[in-house]
This record gives sequence, C-alpha cells and structure tokens, in this order.
Amino acid sequence: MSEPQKVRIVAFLCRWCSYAGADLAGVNRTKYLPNVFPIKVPCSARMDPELVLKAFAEGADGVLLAGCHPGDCHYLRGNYKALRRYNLLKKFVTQMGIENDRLRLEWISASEGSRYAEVVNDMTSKVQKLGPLKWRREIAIEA
Amino acid sequence: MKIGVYVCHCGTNISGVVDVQKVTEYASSLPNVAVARDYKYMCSEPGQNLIIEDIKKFGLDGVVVAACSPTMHEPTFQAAVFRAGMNPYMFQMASIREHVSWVTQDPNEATEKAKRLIEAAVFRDALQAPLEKRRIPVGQAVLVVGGGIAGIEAALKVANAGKKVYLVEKSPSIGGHMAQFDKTFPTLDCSQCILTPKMVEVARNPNVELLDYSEVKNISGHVGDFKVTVVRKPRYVDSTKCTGCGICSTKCPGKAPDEFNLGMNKRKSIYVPFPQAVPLKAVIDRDSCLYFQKNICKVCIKFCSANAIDFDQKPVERTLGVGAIVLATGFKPFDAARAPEYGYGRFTNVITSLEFERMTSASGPTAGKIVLKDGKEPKSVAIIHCVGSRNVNNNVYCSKICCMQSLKHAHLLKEHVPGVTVYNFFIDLRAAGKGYEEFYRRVMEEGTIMVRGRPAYITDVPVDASEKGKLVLVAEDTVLSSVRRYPVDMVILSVGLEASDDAKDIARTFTCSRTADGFFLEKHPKLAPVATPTAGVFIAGACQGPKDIPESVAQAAGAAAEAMSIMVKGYFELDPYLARINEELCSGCGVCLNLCPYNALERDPQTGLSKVVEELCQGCGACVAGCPSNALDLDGFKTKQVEAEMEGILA
Amino acid sequence: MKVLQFFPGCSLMGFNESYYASSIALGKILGYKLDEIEDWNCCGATAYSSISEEKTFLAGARNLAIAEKKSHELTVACGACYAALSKAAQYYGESDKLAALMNGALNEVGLVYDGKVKVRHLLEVVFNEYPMEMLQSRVKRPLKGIKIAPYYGCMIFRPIPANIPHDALERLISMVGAEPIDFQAKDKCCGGMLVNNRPDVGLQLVRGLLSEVQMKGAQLIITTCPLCQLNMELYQGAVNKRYGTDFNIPVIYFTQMLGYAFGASPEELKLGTELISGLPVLQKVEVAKK
Repeated sequence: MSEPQKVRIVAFLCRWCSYAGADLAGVNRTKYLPNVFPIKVPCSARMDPELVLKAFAEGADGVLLAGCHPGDCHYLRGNYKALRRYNLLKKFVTQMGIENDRLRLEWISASEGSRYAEVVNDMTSKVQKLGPLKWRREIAIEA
Repeated sequence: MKIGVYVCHCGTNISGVVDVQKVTEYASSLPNVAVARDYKYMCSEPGQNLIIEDIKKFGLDGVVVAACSPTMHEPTFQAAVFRAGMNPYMFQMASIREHVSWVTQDPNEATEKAKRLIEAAVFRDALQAPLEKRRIPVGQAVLVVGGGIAGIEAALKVANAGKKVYLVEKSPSIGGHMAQFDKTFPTLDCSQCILTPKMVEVARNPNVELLDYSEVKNISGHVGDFKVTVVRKPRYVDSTKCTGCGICSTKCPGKAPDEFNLGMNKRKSIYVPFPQAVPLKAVIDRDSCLYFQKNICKVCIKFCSANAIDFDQKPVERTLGVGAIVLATGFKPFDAARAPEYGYGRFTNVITSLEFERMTSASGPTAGKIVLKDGKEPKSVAIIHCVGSRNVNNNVYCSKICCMQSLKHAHLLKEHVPGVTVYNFFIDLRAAGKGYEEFYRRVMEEGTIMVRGRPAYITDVPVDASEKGKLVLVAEDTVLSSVRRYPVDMVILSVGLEASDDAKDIARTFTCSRTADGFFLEKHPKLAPVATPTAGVFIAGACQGPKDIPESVAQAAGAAAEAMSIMVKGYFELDPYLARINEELCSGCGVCLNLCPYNALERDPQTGLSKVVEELCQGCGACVAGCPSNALDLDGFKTKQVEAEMEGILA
Repeated sequence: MKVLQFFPGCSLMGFNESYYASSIALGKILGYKLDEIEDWNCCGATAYSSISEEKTFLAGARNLAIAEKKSHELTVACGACYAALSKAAQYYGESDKLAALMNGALNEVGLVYDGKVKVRHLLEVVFNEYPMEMLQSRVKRPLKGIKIAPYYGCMIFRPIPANIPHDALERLISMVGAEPIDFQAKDKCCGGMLVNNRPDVGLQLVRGLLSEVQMKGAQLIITTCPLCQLNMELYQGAVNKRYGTDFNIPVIYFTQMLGYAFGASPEELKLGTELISGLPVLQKVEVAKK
C-alpha cells in the first residue's frame, strides 16, 4: 500500500463552538491526523464563499467549515446563513470539477471534542484518497 | 512590521512532541519577524518579561506567541504587551498545544503543523491594526420583568444598591407561584410568611417602581440604552383611590373560577387576587363582569366608598429608558391532562401538586383541610413523581423540584390526616440540596411507603370488593420485581415545570434564544448561567430552567450583580470586532441590512448607503460574507487577514 | 382487486390460523388479496430482544429487504409483528449504526435494504382504505344486542403508533350494529410472555383486563393480536384458578367479527375451531344470529 498522499485541509472554525470543540479534543489528548489546519473566525457566517474558493486556489486540498449546531449560534442565526451559502457553494464547486469530499460543513459544539477528531480523520482519509487537488497548477490564476 | 515570535515549551507538553528549536529557527526566517525565541513557560512572569523587554529593545509592533489555546492565555499575553505600551490587539496567538502537540502522533508531522500555524499567525499579525475596545455609556436604571420570587429578589438587590428599578408584572399582584405554595421544603416555612415581607418591601422601596398588571410591548436600543414600551392593562379600578377593603367583592354577583386557587373555587368578577396581594387593589375581570357583558349591575360603584371604580379606564403605554434588563418570568406547571393515563380531569380525586398546595393552605379553597371532592378525609393517598418529566412523550428533562415537593406533601398528609396511608411512586429520588436528604430520611421514618416504579395507569374499575370506590394504580415495584395494584382514595400528580406560555414571545422581544426544552438560553451553562448572549439582558429563576427557591434567589442576586456591574462602571465595553463599510465600494444595494440579527445595519437616508450602528454590532461577520461588493470588512478578522492566514498554512 | 404484500408471521400459522383464514375471508368480501412474501422468517418479536435488541432487528430487516423487492408496503396482522417490523423500519432510518449493521448482515445473504418499506397493521388498512359507508353497506348479519369489548393491545399504539384513531375498533363495532363498551384498559398490556415465566405478574394483568370486560357487561372481546388473543382466552382458566374468578368470555379477532357481520360462514372464518374456549364463542355468536 502506497504512502498516504500529503494533503492540506483548511478548517474555518467558529470561535464559540467548533474552535472550543477542537480545543476540547486537545485537552482530551484525542489523537487525529495532522492534515487539518484551523483558522478561527467569529462565526460560521463569516465564511465568504470567495474565501473558500481562494483557499482552493492557494493550494488547499480540502476545506472544512464548522459552526454551532442549528439553534445554538452565539450570534443567533449565523449558522443558518452559513448553511445556505454552503449549499449553493457546494453546487458551484462540484460543477467546477472539485470533488464532493473536498468541501464539507459540520456542526460541532463546544462539548464535541471527539466529534471534531472524527470529522478530521474522516475528511482527511477521504481527501487523501482523492489526492492533492493541484488546482493551482491546472488553472492559471490571473494576477 | 517588527514582530516578535515566542515559542513555548509548556514544560514538555509541547516540546515533548514538537521540535521547538526547529520551529523557532523557522519563525525567525519569516518576513516581518524581528526576533524569535523559545522558552519553557511563556505564561510565567519571566516568560512575559521576555516579551516586554523585547518590545522595548527591538521596538516591536506585533507579537505572536505559539503555545496553548488562546482561550487559556490570550488575555494574559494581551495584558503583558499592554504593560509594555503595545495595543493588546497587536498580539496574536497560535495554538500548538491543543491543536498540535496534544493531538498529533508523529513528531515530524507535529513540527511541520506547528510551523504552518505559526506562519499563519505571523502573516495575520502583519496585517493587524491596533483596535480599541468600544465603550458605550450606560443608563442608570434596571428593568426586571416578572414579579415572582426571582424578580422580587433581583429588584430589591438593585434597589438597595441605590439604583432605580422598574419591576413589571403581568398579573394584578406580584408573588408568582411561590405565593401559592403552602409550606416550603425542607424547613417547612410557611411560603407566604417568608415571601410577603419581601413583597411589602418592593412596594415600600423608594427605588422600586412597581408596574403591576403590565406587560412589555417591545424594546429597542442596546445595552446601556434600552427603550422599553410597557402597557398597563386596565383594572377598571383607580389604584390611587382603591384601599383594598374588599367590600366590592362581597357585594359583586358575578363569579368566575379563581385563578389563584387554580379553579378549585370561584372568585367574584371584581376581586383582590389574594389577601396578601401587592399592590392590595381590586381588579375587574371583564369576561365575567355583568356590566361589561350585559350592561347591568354596577353594584360595586354603589358600595365603593373611595369612588375607585372606573369602567372607562383605558390601557396606558409608557416608554422607559433602562441600561440593563433582568428577565425573571418563571415557569408554568405541566398540564396533567397531557398524561391521560392518570385520568386527570376524568377521575374526581386526581389532583395536581399545585392544587394540593392550595388545598393545604389555610387561606385556600378548603381552608387548609385535606379532603376528597365529597368532603371526606382520604384514608390512603398516592403521590406520583415525574408527571410530564423524564418522559419521551412529554418532557425529557428532570424538573428537579418535584421529588422534594412530593416528599413534603407526604409529610403534610401524615401531619394533617391521622392514620393516612401514603405511597410515593418515584423513578429516582432526587434530594440534592442542603437539608434535602435529611428531609427524605425523616419522611421515610414517618412511615411513607416509597415505591420505586412509575405507575402505568390509574383505573376506577375494581377487580374485587376491596377496590370498590377506589382509584387503583397499576404499577411495577421494580425493587420487588412485581406488578401490583394499589387502591387509594386520592392521587396527587407531581407535575413538572415547563417554560411559560409566553416564553416564546418574550424571547423574541428581548432577543433571547431558548434551549430545546423551551427555557431561556444562558450564555454558558457552567460559567455564565444568568447572562445571555445578548449584552445587557440577564435571566434569573425558573425561566432559565427548573429550579427551587434558594437557587432562584441566588440567580436573582447574580443577575442583579451583573446588571449592577454595568451600572456602576458607568460604561459597557464591547469587543472591538466591528463591521466597517468602505463607502467607496458600497452601492447601497441593501443586501446586508437583512443579514444582521442585531439590526446593527441601517440605510443612511441621506447617502442611501449602508451604515453600521456601532453599539449594536456584535462582530459576527455575517454581513461581511454576504456583501456582493466586498464593501464590508470586519476589524480583527479582515478578509485580507484570513487570506494571509490561509497563505501561511498553505506555504 | 387491491393486492397487499403480507407478512403472516409464525403467529398466524398453526395455533392462530383462524386469524389468517378470517383475514383472507374478509379480503374476499372487501376486495383485497393477501400476497404472502417469499421465504419470510421470524419478525424478531421474541424474548431474544432482551439479550440483543440489535440482532432481533436483523431478523426483521431480512423480511423488509425481501418485501422491498416487490413493493414499498408491508401489511401485518399480528400486533407483535407490527411492533417488531415497524421498529426495525423506523430505526433503520434513525440510526446510521443500525442501518450499517443491518445492511452488513443482509449483504452476507445477497440482500440489501434501502429503508423504503412502510409497515402497516391490517386494522390500519381496513380502517383507512375502506370508507365507513362502504363497510356499512356490506353488513348482512347485524350484531344487534351484543356488547363487545375492543381490545387493541399495547403494540398497535406504542412505540410506533399505527395510523388509526384511538376509537377505530369502537367505530367498527358500532358499524356492525353491536355496542362497544368503554374499555379503559383497551390499550394496556395483556401480560405478554410474562404469563409463562412470571404468572404472578402476567396473570394479574390479564385478570385486570377481564374484570373490566366482565364488569362492563361485554359478551365478547375482539383483538388485533394473536398473542393478546392467547393470553386473554387460553389463560382464562389459569386466571380463574389463581384468583377464584369465573371468567368465561370468548375472544376473537376483529377480522372474524367483521367477516361474520358481512355474512361469511363460520367455517370460512374458522370460528369455533381455535382453542379451549372456542365453543362458547360459537354459541354466543349463534345466539346473536337470532
């Protein structure tokens, strides 16, 4: 069996729930694959679809968006906005030829450390199977 | 930019997995980095001094610490750089402990990941601008919504600290459910006796303005400056003239079920809610009043020596300005008819716990006598715990107080009805407060029969002569592992607590969320149980979740303290993460206006462009992500900064 | 002719074949045909569920997978089968873990289940698919003057409630001209398997039910489940012995009551051939005929 391919996944974690959930995974010393890099944002609603596309363009092989469970958003309804944007973005991204498993949205609460680890491992293995996206090399980006 | 990077070993928590030397070397090679060091414990005083000295020595204008999670020590390091004269928001933190060393198996991978995250933090910091926490002025009055024990307590605490309180209560009298109880567990204090002095104090306290028989219509504004519109419902009695003598009630021919006694008896159409009511004033119930319904009678006018009757009274609206709000709107008891297997409403001698409280009250519908509907004393009584609670069919949660209430009722039965047999049917016995377990033991020693098993149903169909005329509970005694029939004369259903009927509307009016069970959402279930995510709005008592009186009082004091801390400081500090509009890019399309859950975006009537209402903005960024022109950005989480972080990760 | 994909279950074979026979006979009158699914196995409603509930769902899953091949509906007549199969179908949709377990086991025998089957009780089908007026028009032997106790048993309403109102049987009883009693315990447990291993519990529950029936003057009990029928009828003797009572009430299936009212012959409905208390049943019914 060949070595799993080196992939990098950028994760946008909302400050109140999912980032805290990731912290909890750390506190519990839950081990997970090191291919997911967290960026903290105030709310999953901060996620501009353009930023997701930029991530892929800059060389991310996968993008994970994580927010509070529906109804629990610290900013009341931000996660619903994130969901709507994500649904449309997913359609667009897959039409562009980026595989389904490379973009993912998860609801992770501050108490779900093990869930964060599960999602990281699951998404990493799926993206590893697909291999690096290499979008940067295949599509010329106008400066 | 001159950035200082500090890599913490955290003892061996980080250095045991991550090669901190390599990482520090790498950091020093990054653009804008003036100095990079590693140290065993960055959060310690020598560690912090390293940073402070470097700031002075190298003239640093940005600092990145790679260590534990920002949730742990971000404030520590922000305070440290502030002491050295740097804006605290120029400090950024990379978590290489919770997110790297503690979760990564392979040391090489961990080192690599740490490098990526530090690079991300450095790139982000390079684009950071100094930010100032926002201060908004605070009005010096507090609004307390709800006049039960929690509301009363909160109001008194604030008033006694010298601040003005508006206490709004929708019923004609304050007191809430506690006024309806007979005795309180575990001390068996008379509920009214310990409550009424507080009620009287509310009326007397010069700092408390009691808005009785009133409801909040809507609010606008923000913490420090709320504008609240309150509507006073018409009593049809002039409160300034009414003396509460009660003669009108004795003469009034109209009748209606008495709400205070849960419909167990009737009251008159003009009535004083209960003898200890505050304010002690009469009120007319339109729906049963002969004058309002049939245009006859008016006997009350004839007999009122104070000339206080005013059939033409109208609702009165007023707007209050307050700086903080405490919601203490209480609970409603579970409707026992929703547990049809127990026959509430079908069988005459099945009553609820609250009805039993009124029954044992000396001023209640039976003058304190425990009797069946036919007036005879019961020889045997069954008390069923958890009605409506711990049940997938109704409410999944535990209502916390019903076990103690049920034990109290068992005790009262034993005390008032000599020779009575009492059964308590429970699932798990919850007696977790101070003196509660001791009370439980006492009740057991008094001879109450504790059966561990939730009754399946109650039937009045006898299988033999011994069951004739009785209510038979069919229940499994799980300790004896047998199903048994228990014939009794009376059944008391210990109903659970639910969010009140208007909780939904109140939540919407005050921008509060509710948890799945319908109670108000606290800011953090462990560490901030009386705050809400909405700045300036606090919650106390049963509206936050089922709880007993001591907890309600404690929460009320806590909420009052929170409200007071806003008042006393005179200002409120908000995070500096503000949305900002670049007017040159804004096309006035208005898409952002609906995206804000706090109504913090408005259209400027003169320019037609969008404008941020700074005091309301909570910095979530929902509008930023939605702007088609990229005219909106978020201080502290600018688009360029997020992109820079990405570049750092993907380098 | 309506074709109903049908799961008879072990309970409709042998001991309680009168339920199967009367269900078929009723179909001839109303216009439905019972199409027994191929190679069915036990639905899983056995005591094994207290050892491993998950594995009992696997038994149900096999039936659902076979059923799904032909249609997205499965009708069952036995209350216990209804509970077992509707639970398996519902929990398949609610639990990824269970669904994976089910499909794993099914794959081993070359089957697959997609979660599409809707399980219905025969009473649900009769009550919902045929308007009351239509049923009324089929009555040839109105059961006037008889008081009947409608016994639903517990499983038709819990945990997966069938789509019938809480007085469906009462309405059918009234429709055939008889008088339903106000049976408080109509959906309470009949004791289930406990009549065997814990008679002090099981028989006590049966006694409670029979007492009410007797007290309210019903001459006949109708049921929707063979297990209930068994407990209520076969164990009357044991109840009488234990408690010194004198119960002697016939217990038949709702399909037999309907079939008889609609004019089918007792032989077709296998009335009077079931169990120990079978003969009195027939006699009472003959009395009603007058």
